[in-house]
Amino acid sequence: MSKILIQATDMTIGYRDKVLYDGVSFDIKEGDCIMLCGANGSGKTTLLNALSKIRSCETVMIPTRIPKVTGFTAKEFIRIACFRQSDMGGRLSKADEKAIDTALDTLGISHLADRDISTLSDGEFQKTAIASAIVRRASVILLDEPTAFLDAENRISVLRTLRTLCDTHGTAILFSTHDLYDGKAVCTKVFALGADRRFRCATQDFDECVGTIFRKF
Amino acid sequence: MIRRKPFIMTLICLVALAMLAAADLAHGGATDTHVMIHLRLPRVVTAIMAGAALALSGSQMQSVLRNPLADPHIMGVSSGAALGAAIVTLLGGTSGFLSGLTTAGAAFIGASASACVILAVSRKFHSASTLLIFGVLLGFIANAVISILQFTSDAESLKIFYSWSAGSFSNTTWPQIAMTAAALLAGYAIAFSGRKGLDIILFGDEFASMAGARPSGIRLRALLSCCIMTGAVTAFCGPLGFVGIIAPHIAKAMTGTSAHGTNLPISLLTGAMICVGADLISQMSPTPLPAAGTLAITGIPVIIYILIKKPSL
Repeated sequence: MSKILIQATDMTIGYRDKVLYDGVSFDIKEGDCIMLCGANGSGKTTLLNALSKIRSCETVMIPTRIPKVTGFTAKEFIRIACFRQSDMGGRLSKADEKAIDTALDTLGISHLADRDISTLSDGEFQKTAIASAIVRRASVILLDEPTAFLDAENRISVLRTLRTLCDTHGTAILFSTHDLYDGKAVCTKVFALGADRRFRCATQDFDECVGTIFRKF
Repeated sequence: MIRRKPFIMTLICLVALAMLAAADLAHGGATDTHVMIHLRLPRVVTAIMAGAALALSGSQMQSVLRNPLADPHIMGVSSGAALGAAIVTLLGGTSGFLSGLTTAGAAFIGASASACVILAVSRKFHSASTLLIFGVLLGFIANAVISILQFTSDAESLKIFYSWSAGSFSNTTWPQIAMTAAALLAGYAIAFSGRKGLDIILFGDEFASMAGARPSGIRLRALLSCCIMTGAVTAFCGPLGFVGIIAPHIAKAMTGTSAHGTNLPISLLTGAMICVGADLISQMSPTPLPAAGTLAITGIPVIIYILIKKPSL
């Protein structure tokens, strides 16, 4: 039985003056690869933001559309992202430096280590951001629409990488996406924010669960 | 961008700065030690420190506002200083308690006041672009009040105000230079110790806060550092623009990186070089030219060049 990392029981999601979903219950276990789907404005990012606040040291959230600033290599970007681990000058310990190399290797992007991030494709940069989450020793990685700006090839490549990471490292990943077809193929679980304002979680019969985001009841 | 060794770049900047400073000191031919110690040396030292301080301010502002054309001038700090100077020089003659204040003192108070307003609202505004627009508007208000004051002033006080607002590296005394040096040191210490925060904020507030940084804190720090440095420089040298915009870009082009640990020290040197260079040009004319005008005439073409070459900015 794999370890439960986050367990939500009867949780309410929303803002101070607006409840989006209540009675939300789910658990996120080691090695889970979860697709979070819902229409635009259904509250996917709100849910991810809420989860990112829980045990924030072990939960790393990667926001959508990080600017690719000129003048930093992929390795330097990861170093900067490790804000909590680095010293005042932004330097990392030897162990963390080694962790960067291992993470780049795991994601198959070692050859990009010294490339300027502005020259990376969106898919390659997305993988670099995921690598930074590994170096930050995240047990749960939350990704807000990691495939939003990718072409078909990069989309599948990034999603496959996510799944591999879950299988080999036991990392739990929750990603929101509109690419339901590709997402379904790689995930082990589906969280759906239904059109009827109800939260659903499925470990099988993904189609049924995904369908609730469109259907009006 | 091509990466170059920061150490070699620092050396090149130091040598270039030393040569410019030597040329500036020697300009006008050999002279006695009195002229050297009381006229030329203070002028060159002031130019070096003013350039360094403005470049550091510009570098930080460009990062925390994520705008490649931001500098203290645009954020309204210089306009605040000008308003302070205008109130004292243009109204000072009539009211008793103001006449005791010097132009420099008033300018410093004005810079600090507008800086305080920006610092205060920076806690309210969480977006970098809103803060930038606020700074520009603040500058507009200050300039509007100045023009009203100018309209109602007599010729004599207008002349005093104009000579300050034209900008100059001359006329600084050694105690004033010491004050500027202290401000530069404090501002640099704040900037350099916060270099990793300046790096991460380039990737957006959302990414920075997700990684455990506090964007509003980083901005507050950078603005504080800018205010200390710009306040001192503007008080003694007048409102000088464009150095703060150009110097960080030159540093970035030289080192090929955007990392602040490397670029802050190099921007400091490139800023100093620009100001000493501008001073040298202004001294070459038969009557010394105002520093602000020389900087604008030499600096704006460089900014236009940056804009044309990198339209993505």
